[in-house]
Amino acid sequence: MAPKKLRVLLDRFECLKDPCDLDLLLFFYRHPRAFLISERLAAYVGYDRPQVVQSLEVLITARLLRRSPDSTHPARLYVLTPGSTLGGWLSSLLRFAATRDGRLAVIHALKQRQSSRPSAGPEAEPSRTLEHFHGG
Amino acid sequence: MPEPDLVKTGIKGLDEILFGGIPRGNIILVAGTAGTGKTTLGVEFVYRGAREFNEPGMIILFEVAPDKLIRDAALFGWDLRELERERRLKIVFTTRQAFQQELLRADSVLLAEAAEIGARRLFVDGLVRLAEPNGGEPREAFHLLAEGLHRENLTAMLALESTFDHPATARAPEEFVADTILKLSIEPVQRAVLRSVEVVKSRGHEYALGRHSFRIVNGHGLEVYRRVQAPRSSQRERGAAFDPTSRVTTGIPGLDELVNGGYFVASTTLVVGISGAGKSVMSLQFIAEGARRGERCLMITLDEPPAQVLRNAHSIGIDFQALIDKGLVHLWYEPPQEMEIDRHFAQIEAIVESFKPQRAVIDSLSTYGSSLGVAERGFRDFFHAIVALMKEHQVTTVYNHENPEMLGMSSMMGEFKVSSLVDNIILMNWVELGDTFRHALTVAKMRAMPTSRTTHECEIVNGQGMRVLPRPLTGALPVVPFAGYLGLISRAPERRGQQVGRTDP
Repeated sequence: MAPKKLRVLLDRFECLKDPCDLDLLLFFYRHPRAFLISERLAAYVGYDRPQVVQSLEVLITARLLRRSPDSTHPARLYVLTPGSTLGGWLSSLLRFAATRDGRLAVIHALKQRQSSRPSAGPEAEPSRTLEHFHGG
Repeated sequence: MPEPDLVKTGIKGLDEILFGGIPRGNIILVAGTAGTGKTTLGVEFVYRGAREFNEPGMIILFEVAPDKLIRDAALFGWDLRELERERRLKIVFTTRQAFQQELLRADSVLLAEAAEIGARRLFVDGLVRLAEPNGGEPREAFHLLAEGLHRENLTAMLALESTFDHPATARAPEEFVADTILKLSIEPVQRAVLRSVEVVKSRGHEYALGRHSFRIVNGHGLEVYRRVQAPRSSQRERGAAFDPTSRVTTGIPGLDELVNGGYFVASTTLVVGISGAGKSVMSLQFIAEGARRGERCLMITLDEPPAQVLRNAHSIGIDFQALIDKGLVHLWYEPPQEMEIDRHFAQIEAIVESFKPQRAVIDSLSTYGSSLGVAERGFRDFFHAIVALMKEHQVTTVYNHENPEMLGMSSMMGEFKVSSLVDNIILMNWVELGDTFRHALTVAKMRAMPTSRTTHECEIVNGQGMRVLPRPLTGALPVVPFAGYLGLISRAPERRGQQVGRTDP
């Protein structure tokens, strides 16, 4: 995929900022319905648990992922729920990122996107929801 | 007594050995070592349920990623993604620990997910011996798991990893708790491997005991073949009685007179002789005669591929292809290498049941012997089963058998101890006269019919086939009574010096 095309594709997923966001998405692309504790999820994707917990919140807030509500259970059910308007784009992105080169290219593009933005603290970061990106 | 509510697996041949299916709600354990086909069986159980019996299902995976499972299922033509889209299937990836803990909870998220699509079937792949949460026995842990599944009235199939090949000596505790156990095995046979499935136990219904062969067939899934030796319907045994008034003509000029007008309908005839003695020619004429009379005829060949059979038939003036094209003849060839006898028999059963032949030829019995070995019971059991099948369907059948002895025979069947199962035996021999081997035919046995056991000369004419030559002898032939010989039971009796003769009338 050409870098420009990738940037256009990523523009539709402005919620994605960190490589962990992408890797979690990739994990759920291969395991669209997973019933796991967060520690195990962290082990599967290879990040620290706090980072994974933060990325999970990103994906859930962006409505790319649904999580079973009952937090009294040790494990939670995660279901990949690509929004109807973004489903096709998400599949394109994840198919591309499913290869080693593709994943590295997406991570590189994410880093570039982050560095090209004016620096701002997390508190200044706008809400990372899809509605925001849709202008909703 | 009420009929049990049986869940059909939908797997070809498996419901047959389960006598219709598995009682609903049973906990089914599928045990086997790696590569025995547990995952394929379980996924097919859920797939067929959703697709063919309107019973949605759920698959629980611990190690295999769902996308790989979906990819592999596609090789069998099972579109799991489509079933998911139609909300007839859910595939959940989890860990054994999370699964075990969850099923113990009254408000199980997993079971709620299953209930959301009205799941009736569940397949759990890759279960290993469970650890009891409080340090108790694995058997108790499995019992608790089973109770959790019972609450939802799911028919659950659990694939249990087994490292043992002989469960009799190493029974997993789960096996005592499960309602149904299917044991899958893969064993080496010569340099090939043979897959088999055994219903070790199944509560609440009857099933066929023993190990049955199965295959994993690309584009389809599992195909289970009931073991040849397993008893069939009692109707099959009753079929052994044949109608003594109907005759089936042999198609060999001159032979019908020697067999009292033909073979009985549904009788079993063995044609024994060395290679080149004319057995296959006789078979072709038997089939062609049936077709000429408008009968459906089946020819099963293990020795010669179809093109060769067609060529042979052509050489004696029979257009076999035309008979096939007319639908009168079904020619079925299976190479004998690495023959799986349960599968082979199931295929013959299917052909007989669908094509409904009136005549059949099997060429040859000796090839089965080479594949199955004649020392053990396998060959005899197979032959017994095929004779019963043909009799049940009233098929008059001729079996060719190659006897390796070139001149004369010291025994009709050699190591093949099956002559008691056949009704008629025709011996084909070479007779050396001068510098020529000539064809000789002797009707050695005709069950329920008189036979002269006289040796007759035959000839095979290019473009015409075989015929039994007339015996042009007229007048009296001296017939010497037994008392005129010494060593009658030996293979070379001698005439006494002084003949005690009498003359034929």
